[in-house]
Amino acid sequence: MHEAVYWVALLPLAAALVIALVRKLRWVPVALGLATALACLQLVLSLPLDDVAGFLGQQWMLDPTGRLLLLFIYAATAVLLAIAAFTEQAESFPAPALAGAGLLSAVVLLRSSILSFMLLPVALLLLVLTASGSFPSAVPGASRFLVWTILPILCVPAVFTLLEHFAVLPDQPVLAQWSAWLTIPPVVLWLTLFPFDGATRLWSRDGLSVGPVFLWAVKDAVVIYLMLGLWRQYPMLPTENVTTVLGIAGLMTAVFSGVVAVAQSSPSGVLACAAMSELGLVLQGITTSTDEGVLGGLFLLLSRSVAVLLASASLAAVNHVVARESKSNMQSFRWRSLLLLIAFSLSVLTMAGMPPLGGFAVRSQIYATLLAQEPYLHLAWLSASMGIALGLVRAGWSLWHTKPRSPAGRLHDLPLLLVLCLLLLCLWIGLHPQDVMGWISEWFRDLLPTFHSVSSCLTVPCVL
Amino acid sequence: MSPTFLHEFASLSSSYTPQLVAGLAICGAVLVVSGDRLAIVAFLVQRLIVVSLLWPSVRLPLAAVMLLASIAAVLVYIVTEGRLLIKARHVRHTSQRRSFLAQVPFRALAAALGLLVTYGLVQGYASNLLPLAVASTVVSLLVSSLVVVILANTGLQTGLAVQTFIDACRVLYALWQPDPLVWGLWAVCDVLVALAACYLRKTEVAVVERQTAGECG
Repeated sequence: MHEAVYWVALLPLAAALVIALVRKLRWVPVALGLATALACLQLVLSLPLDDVAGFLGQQWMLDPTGRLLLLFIYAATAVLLAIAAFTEQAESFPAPALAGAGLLSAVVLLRSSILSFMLLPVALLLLVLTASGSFPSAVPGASRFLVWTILPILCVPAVFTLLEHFAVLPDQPVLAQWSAWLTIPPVVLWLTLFPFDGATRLWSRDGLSVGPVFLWAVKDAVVIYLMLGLWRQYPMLPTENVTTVLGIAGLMTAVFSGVVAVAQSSPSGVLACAAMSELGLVLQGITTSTDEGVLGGLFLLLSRSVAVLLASASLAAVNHVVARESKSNMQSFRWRSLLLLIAFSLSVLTMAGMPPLGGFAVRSQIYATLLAQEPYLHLAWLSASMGIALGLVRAGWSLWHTKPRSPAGRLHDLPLLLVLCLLLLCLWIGLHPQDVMGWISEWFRDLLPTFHSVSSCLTVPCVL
Repeated sequence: MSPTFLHEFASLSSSYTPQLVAGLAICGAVLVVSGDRLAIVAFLVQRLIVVSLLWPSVRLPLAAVMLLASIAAVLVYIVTEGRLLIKARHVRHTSQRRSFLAQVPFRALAAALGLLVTYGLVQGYASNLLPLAVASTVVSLLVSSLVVVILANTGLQTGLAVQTFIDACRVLYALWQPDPLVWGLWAVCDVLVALAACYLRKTEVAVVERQTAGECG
């Protein structure tokens, strides 16, 4: 059985190929996609841990952290496939999403760091194929994302070459310093931090496009996993300068995206701003160079992913619900629309860090670990949160007055069921932050990097 | 391929390096100025020049991988543009053609600026760090990719710009000891970029047609 670990990556790639051939058959792509995602979930749960398998000349292994991440990847993919079905993107989304999920699984399973980092942009390129023609701004947004994905392509082999040379010549700290600096462009561009954060915002400006949701919910988690894994493997990389630069990029992303949310005219635009603002805070937590900060950042990442899925499911369900309500008795209270509005609002407010939801408590923890006594940081975060809240007011108004774009389908209340499940999960995470943090600290303790300076690495031999 | 052909191809770059680098700059200028179809031809020529320049460094297997990926990418572009051309004959896109022709003088100026920037960077900085031929090649590719991506108004042009940028990175990477696995993955990236660019191009056309149909209806 231990040879089956690479099937977690191969199965979705094969399914994507089949789905690409049958993509015009109405429900078949989504059904096949869901079946594949569930099969991969089952496969991940059944595979043994820490058992190395050889395939295509490479070593593949599933560790405990990787298993959790893979479970999340395929669970999120299944939810997104359902959302794509609700939003009539069943033709454009399933095949590239499954192929992307397969390649991201390979990124997690491969033991070769350089290969993982080289496969990541390949997976991101496939996700460009989810851009739907239903939204005019999706194409320029996806084009920008295509450019940002490829730009840091030379940095990856450069980093690993410099690290190899540093292992041979440990008395040349400039090699380690350069390799540390060269990790910044890939992280900034692949996470689309400021000033590149406009790509996914543009992609989702005209309506809920499921491709960017996949990027926020799944891709960001994999990139941060890779970054933390690299820092753990090479402790000389997260120098103070590097973490400071990434922290500043995170802060600027958080503030800029939050403030820009005021100017968004569509609910999907507000969602994009909230998602990117929260990502900035995640990165600030992770770059505090403390375990508490990293755990706080990971908590925000998890709650953000669930909130993004909840918000997307709410937006996906809107047209069905509104169409049904317009067909039924006009005098009855629009309780379904109200539920969707509450769900969307809660998800966005979670990302804005409003109390009593979990984002508020963890922000306080990250603020404490940053030891920032100056008020500007608090004010910066507050301005971002207020921007998101004001944008939410406009988005909520337009959501409540949405007119049906097409007749009600035969999905009945299936979208609402998905929204309810995600809402309960989001609320549970938000109201039990300490429990979730405890689990995260236990599940991800192998991923927590040890923060050293380059000078300390000269005295302690670093095994590469 | 016959050994004689390979030998001639390998000796091409050592004998005609200045001409090849100049050809690269011209291809970059044509990429900036031209529309999608001519840009594909310019890209193919540019890619062949890069392969011939890299041939002595990376040798047959890696160069062959790059050549095959290039041919696959260009075929994807040609098939996509061919289908769009057949579709366009049924739907008049004269307004798009007129707006592109109006941009040609501006694009020509941008290409001239790009050539000037390339010359300045090579003479001022790059030739101190790298051999002149390598510096000229890398800077020419980088500048043309930057100009094309700034001026791109279709997904296909964005894809060509991205692949031009990848070529510049490849030339730099070939100066190290290139790992065949990394090289192969870059070749896969090449083809995927072409696929993504063509998909975006088709989607753009579909959006324009939908908008046109909405205006007429």
